[in-house]
Amino acid sequence: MSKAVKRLKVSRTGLKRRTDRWAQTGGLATISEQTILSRRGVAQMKDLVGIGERLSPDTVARLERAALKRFETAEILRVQRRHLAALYFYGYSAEICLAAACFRSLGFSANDIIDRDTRRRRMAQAKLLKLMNNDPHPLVGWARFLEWKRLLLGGLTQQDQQRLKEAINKATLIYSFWRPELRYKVIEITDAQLQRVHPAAKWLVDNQMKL
Amino acid sequence: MPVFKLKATATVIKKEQRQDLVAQLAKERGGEAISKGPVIFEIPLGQTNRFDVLVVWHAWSDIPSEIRSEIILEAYKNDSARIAQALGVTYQEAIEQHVLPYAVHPMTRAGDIDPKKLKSAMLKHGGIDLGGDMVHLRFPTLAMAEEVHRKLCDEEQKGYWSIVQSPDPMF
Repeated sequence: MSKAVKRLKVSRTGLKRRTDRWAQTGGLATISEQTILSRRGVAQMKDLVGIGERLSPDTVARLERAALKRFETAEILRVQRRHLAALYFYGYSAEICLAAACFRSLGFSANDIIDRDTRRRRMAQAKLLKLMNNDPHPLVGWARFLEWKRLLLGGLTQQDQQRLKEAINKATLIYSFWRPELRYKVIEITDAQLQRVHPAAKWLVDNQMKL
Repeated sequence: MPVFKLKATATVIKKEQRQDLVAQLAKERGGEAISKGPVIFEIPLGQTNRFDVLVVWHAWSDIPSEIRSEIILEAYKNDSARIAQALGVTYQEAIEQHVLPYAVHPMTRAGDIDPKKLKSAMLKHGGIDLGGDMVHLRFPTLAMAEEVHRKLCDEEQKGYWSIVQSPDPMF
């Protein structure tokens, strides 16, 4: 075999290897780009699919876990005296707790899928019932919608009713300090302010399975 | 000083009116289309055997939300146990509340297709008649919009339809 033929064979093997690698990227990068990326140790294109594309839909169980995780993060931030960030996470924890309780009372079992359209229809109902306002993160609205649904289902003890009223009070208190827009701000949140929000958020996390 | 007096108001719906709405809804559900009647969406919920019912209807305008839900449940009779949510909205409320976020739009130019034929095709597939030649074809889920889009492409001018999703203010 001549040197020329041998060289051709080698380059064909190399070409196949590179073509396979290109196919793995879903054809998003050219062969030469992909070769450069691989040589530099940069992640392949298939690894760069946005996390938004891979998020699983909500369920009551996942929401309950998320509420706890956001609360735990807020606790760490509170200890580190990062008050604004702690408040931001306490607010989300409270919102997720109440939304999860709402969906449970609306008949969703732990692993039933709650997609955006389904959630939007529930929020539309709450708004038409004048229980929720048009705020995109209506903490108090979720609490009031929850109470409305639980009362409609009936069979509540006086203690249950009291707990639902308390959930509305806690949501109202948190909402007087919390807004999602906090993420854009650099305002000072005092220790005293956080001391008011923290027990309310903790109460919601502690009681979420009873709501 | 002026005196402002506000009269207490509560919407009262007469028994006959309620029965009439239940009957119309049941008819529409049974496949008997009424002019300017309700558009009913039955939306399955994941892997469960339950479904949401969304009824878009101008007749709801004076009726409180809770009563609309009762009327829908009444029209569904034995199937009502499987309904997870019975929601009645007017078209305006549906737009305001973003419960019909997926629209199927005709992409025709003037003279491409007879407007009457276009309107009729859209109404056949659940379009909301807004008077004149104006019809909106909107859906609560992408799957429903895609299904109708496919049918319209098969039945009418291929490639003359597009699906548009309204931005979601919630997220």
